[in-house]
Amino acid sequence: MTPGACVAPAEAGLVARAAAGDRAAFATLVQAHQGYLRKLLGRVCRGDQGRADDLAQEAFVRAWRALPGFRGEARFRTWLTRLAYSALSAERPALPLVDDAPPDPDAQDDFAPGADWRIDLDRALAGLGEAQRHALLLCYGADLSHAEAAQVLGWPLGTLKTQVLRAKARLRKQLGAWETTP
Amino acid sequence: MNDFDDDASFDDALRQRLQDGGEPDDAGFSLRVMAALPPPVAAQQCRRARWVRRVQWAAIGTAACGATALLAGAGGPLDMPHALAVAALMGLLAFWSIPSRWSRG
Repeated sequence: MTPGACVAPAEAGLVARAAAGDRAAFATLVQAHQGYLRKLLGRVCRGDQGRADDLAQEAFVRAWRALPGFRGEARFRTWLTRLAYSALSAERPALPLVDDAPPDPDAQDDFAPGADWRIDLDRALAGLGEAQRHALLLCYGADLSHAEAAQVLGWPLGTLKTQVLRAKARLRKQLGAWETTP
Repeated sequence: MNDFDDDASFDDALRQRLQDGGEPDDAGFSLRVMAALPPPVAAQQCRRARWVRRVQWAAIGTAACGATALLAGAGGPLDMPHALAVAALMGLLAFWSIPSRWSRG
């Protein structure tokens, strides 16, 4: 793969200028990606937007330092997400490693279909283990490919796919009452 | 009512739920990030510094070899031009090597 192959041409120019020390180009990149990153991290931090913003800021500062070494082999957004997860891991080393921890039993036991399936989906999501939640957030919330999500989390691709499948199976089981019956 | 019979519709529902809600407004976040950035060290500057160091060491090596060859090649006492050449090379050696020692991290 040629350097820069995964970065859009307009963005590749900005990335190259920022890597050469152009702060205005980096500011444009920050403005373009801050909304995506803060929204994703807000979900990762379960709604704690203050902490999410601190993590996002740390990710951008790390990106500024590491940009001269960025060769464009991944999308800038994927690379930035990876840096944000590195910051998250530095803050809480237990995350986001693959875990086999049992889900929150309360979330499972009192689960029952409510008036709005979205509420039930949120409750079911809250009952997932951390690894499965991160896998779903990246693949469905951030719309990253499985390969990109695996890269962000530092997992083998097969592990990521397994976690996504398990998470979906668990959610479908819990949301079974919403399935259409013939 | 949602039909989750097939995997694709469940995927769509999941994606929609996890992506709903707008992205937060910038509200000064970009300015806060820019204020937190450390001073830039451009890649070009790093590359240039690396090349300068290499050229410096090559020049030091060449001067040392030249001075050694001149001193070893002279059977007896050095004549004026040879002595001047040796002195010049030794001066260059000192000039190039002492600052590079200082600049070493």
